[in-house]
Amino acid sequence: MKAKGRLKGKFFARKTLVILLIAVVLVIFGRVVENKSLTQSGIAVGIGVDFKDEKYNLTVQVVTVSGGAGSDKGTTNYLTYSAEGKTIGEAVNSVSEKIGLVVSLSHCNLVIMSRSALSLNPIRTFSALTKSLSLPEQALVVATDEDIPSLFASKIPSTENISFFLQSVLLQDLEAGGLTSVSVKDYLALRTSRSGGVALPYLEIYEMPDKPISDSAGGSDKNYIVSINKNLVIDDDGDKVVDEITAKAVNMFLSSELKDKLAVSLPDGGVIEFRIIKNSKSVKVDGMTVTAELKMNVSFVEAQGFDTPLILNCNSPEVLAARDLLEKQLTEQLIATYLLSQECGIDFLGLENLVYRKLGRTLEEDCLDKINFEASYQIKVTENS
Amino acid sequence: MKINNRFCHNPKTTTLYNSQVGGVVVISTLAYKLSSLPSIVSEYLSSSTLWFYLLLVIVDTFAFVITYLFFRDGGDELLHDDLRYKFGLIFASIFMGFKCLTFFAFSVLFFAIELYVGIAPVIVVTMLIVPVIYLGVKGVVTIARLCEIMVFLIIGIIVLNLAFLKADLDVGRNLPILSTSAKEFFAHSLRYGTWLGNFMPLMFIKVKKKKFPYISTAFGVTQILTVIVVMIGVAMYGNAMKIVSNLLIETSGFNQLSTEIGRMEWTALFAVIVMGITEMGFLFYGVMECSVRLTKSKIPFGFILAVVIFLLCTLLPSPQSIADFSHSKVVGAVMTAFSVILPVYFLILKGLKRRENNKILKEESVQNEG
Amino acid sequence: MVKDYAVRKEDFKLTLQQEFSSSDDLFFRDVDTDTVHAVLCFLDGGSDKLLLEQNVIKPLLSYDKTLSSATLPSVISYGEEIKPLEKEGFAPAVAEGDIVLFIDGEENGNLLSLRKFDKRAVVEPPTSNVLKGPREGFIEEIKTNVTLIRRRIKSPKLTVKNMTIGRYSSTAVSVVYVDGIAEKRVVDEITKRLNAIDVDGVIDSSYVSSFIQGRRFSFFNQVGTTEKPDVLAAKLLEGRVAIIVDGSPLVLTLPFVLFEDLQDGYDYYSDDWRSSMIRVLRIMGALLTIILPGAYVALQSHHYHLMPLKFLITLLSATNGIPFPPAIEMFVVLLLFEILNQASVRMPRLMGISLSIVGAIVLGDTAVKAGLISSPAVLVTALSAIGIFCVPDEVGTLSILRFLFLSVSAVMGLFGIVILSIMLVAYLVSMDSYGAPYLAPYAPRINPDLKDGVLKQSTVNMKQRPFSIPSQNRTRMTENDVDDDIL
Repeated sequence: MKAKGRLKGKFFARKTLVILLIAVVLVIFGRVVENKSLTQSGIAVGIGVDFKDEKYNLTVQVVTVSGGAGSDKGTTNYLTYSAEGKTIGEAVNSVSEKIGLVVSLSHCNLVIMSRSALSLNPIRTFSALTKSLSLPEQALVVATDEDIPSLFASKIPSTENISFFLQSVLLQDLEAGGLTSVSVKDYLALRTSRSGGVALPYLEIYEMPDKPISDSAGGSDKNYIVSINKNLVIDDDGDKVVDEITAKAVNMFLSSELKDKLAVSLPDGGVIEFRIIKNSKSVKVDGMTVTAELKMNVSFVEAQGFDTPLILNCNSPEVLAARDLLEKQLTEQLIATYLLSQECGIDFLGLENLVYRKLGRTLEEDCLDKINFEASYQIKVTENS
Repeated sequence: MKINNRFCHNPKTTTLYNSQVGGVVVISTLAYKLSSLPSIVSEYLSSSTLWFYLLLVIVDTFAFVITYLFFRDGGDELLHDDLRYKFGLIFASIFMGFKCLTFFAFSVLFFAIELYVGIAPVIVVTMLIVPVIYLGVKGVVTIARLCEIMVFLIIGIIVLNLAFLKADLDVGRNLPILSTSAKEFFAHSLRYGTWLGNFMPLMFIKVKKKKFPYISTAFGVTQILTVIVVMIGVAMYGNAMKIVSNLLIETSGFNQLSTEIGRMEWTALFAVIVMGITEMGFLFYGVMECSVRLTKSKIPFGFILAVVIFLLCTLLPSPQSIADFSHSKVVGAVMTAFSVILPVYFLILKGLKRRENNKILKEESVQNEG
Repeated sequence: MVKDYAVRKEDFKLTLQQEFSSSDDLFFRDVDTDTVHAVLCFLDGGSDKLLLEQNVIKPLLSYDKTLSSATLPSVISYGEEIKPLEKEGFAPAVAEGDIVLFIDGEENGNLLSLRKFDKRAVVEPPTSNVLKGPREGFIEEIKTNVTLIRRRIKSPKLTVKNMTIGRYSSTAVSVVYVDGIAEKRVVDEITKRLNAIDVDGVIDSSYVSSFIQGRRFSFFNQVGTTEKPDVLAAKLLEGRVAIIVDGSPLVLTLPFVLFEDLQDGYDYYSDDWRSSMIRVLRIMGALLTIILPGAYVALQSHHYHLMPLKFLITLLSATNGIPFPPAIEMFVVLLLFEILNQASVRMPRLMGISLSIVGAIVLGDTAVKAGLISSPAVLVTALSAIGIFCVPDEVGTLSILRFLFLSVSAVMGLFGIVILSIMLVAYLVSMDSYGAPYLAPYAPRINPDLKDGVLKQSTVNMKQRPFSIPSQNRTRMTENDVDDDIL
């Protein structure tokens, strides 16, 4: 017993044992965990996916910081790299090899997809991005027919790069109408729904006719304007680019929080502008007929081109006439949009979803052409802006 | 030293205050129900996921009420040496042990895939099994006190994440109620019995009541919260829910504060890990208590469970096999049956034992009078 | 006859000289008259010589009758009872600083306590500063400390039980409690444990605390400490037992709950809204201390995807070019801070300025400019260092926990922090101190005690003593007859 006690005291001193155990565990764990730290990672702020010749073509815009610590603040650079691969993962690995850093999509808030990439199985495409590569599901999805590497490399005068520009435009609700923001989550939810149709912002770039005045000497000769007022509507069977008016009508139907300004031109030449304050939608489904009542509260913003010397307000006959005309125009646009969706066979208004929720699983597949749609707009001018 | 301070743990009869039991109920009821289960269910039931959860809540509530009636005045104490009770405990230990194993497998998958890249499962299993065994060995008093502290944090995290949620929601995605036939819906629902009866180890305690009904409030609030989170989850994802590996964590990423202070997933990560480890520890404790009553020692069943968990999670090609096995047709149905039948069995046994005891007392008093 | 007297007194002197190994500071004062034959033995520097001369020696010299122990109390002016002392007690009594008076012809000696040690003034303790409230602090002298408590609890029920611990040090230890409030079994258990201490010497109260705490291998405090009499009085009135050790200004209190260290005397001397806010800040400071370095390393190494992009870019530019991985960098900075801390505690005050300059400029500025460490790391360490002193009684524990969390987070990231937190909380909730659960009143949640919890209520509402501390009598105040609405 004495010997055992002596032995216990000598070798099994608890503090020593505990410290040793912790050290061993930490060393083992530290040796087998491979985590790339911040300095070994290339932080992607935007990603583009194209699919050509059975290969994924990935373009990644990465932010790098040059300049040592301790000195003045380092310089932030945005570099664009592209690579191909049979899978998305392979393409990302190729990009990582090119940069010399492990690409991390955890801060990537923009995904630009070509039509060919969008036509692939959305679950498989985005699972690869969100699961293995940590793409946030809040990232915005944008469609384009432009060359994606050139798109990322384009110089936008008003901001550092196209990724930040698109994020700010789509997320900041600039009241410019037709700007649908669709996140990865929304895209997948809509593509996997019964309707299967999604309206995505459609990206086009145009070269600016005049170079903006800038303090910095030199710089790129070409500057570009980005346009995302159109939509690309897509489902499993096809896709189509729709114009601004249709895009706006879609957005007004689908969105629950509109921040838009609507200008109405009256036959007598005057123009009145309204701002949407509040909107709501009530949809009734009766068999295969969908009836939508859309209500809007708007404020009267501005009137131009009127001869009257009186100051117009929300109760003025001109304003009320403009309101009535707006109701009619919006209703017509919505009905036209519905007809377009039937024509191209893409249910981007989600009508099949509405009918499915009412009728249940007995509803036949692809029955958009059998659905009747009636819509009416009711606008109240509640205040002056 | 043993001081008869009523808050001090008395090892002979584990009595918990109803506030402590409430804390345990919250954590055990929420654990694992809002992680990967919604995506597994959604893959088959799509829009019926919420309605499945309502069914789950109903069955769980029934099982809980029965379990509560058993433990509230010390059913375990009464039946301690009863052979019929011990027979039931064999199945209870299998039920709790399998649940612990399944949850462990899910946790290993989560850590090995979501949190770390390229890590061998054996390392994750080793790291994870330590706190589970620690909590199980420490016992229900430690677990209950731990829950008392953590419960406010966890509820706060979940509620605040919901309050600051910023995402496109379409509640209509929860319709139609039946995306498949009623027969298929109920048949499929039987597969998820492993997620029922998380509170079963409570049968080994006795409750000391305070004025406020903590237990029923905790249970009610938790179930309501579960339904709300699932409803919002389906409203957010619709049929895309099948790619959501952890609903609670991924919904917390859609947060108004994300742009200012970073992705808020770490808050839900904390809640999920705490709930998961506590629940596994709780089930481990339950298995050890069964062992005490059957073999007079905690060690045998605890050791077996630890070894089984370690071996299966490391030797199998992937813990995914365990995860898939847990919601297979037969296993799921068996677990569903256990989750309902075992509490009923124990409650009936308690009633019978009480009657037998009263009969004996009556006979003795008659004899004494004679 | 003379020869007999001389032999007996000489025996006494010889015995004591042998006991004290002929120590040079052992003095003998013979008092020989026609009627009185006695000798006084004492250690130089430990007794009040003026009182000895005037109240003891002078009366003895002028006494004209035969002196004996029975007549001694009427001869000398002495304020306490003159205790008889057996032969075995002579040396220990002299060693403790008392005087032994040996009268020829008697077997036993007589104990006179005329101790006069130099002691420091009662001042505010350096570790417990308050903005408002009493500023007295305990000193090393045990009798003064007991007096300070008695001045605050003027009740006969305040009980002081004395004992001596230490084979060589014979340190006086007093167990103080309020009879009728403190739980008897707690007092008995503490007394039993103190009596069981068999050690060479007790130099400070921390020696005693290591013997009486429940779990020997835990680095968490299990015994409460205070240097302030007002705080101790409040704790005694809550049902705690105090242990005062001679030679130490730090008084121990039991039972102990962790939340005690988050409380401060100032909380009770100021408005309860302000107190609540301060307590919340203390907890935040403590949590910041433990978790911030680990979280910073975890976020940078494993979970940078959780940070907002702009912050991440700033962090990238700040850490670009740093030669060390984040974990090593943080370890180094924390280690340097700890070294600086230890150096500043021990160094002479006159050198304080140069050390501050070295610490601030070299560590904070030059190292960052040289690119050896990054400025976020210095900032995190500074915040952690400030937070640690929000709970000064837990500095040691928080410091260790900080390194523990850092080690774990370096390897396992946030997962490790969460796992460690769970195990830590589970460990703490399973501890108890003499019947008081360690994390009371939060685990188990004891509703009445929450009135003095993080959100403190007014003293008027605290009608009962804390339920987390075992006590015989819970009632602290009766119903107040004063009408609240005086208008």
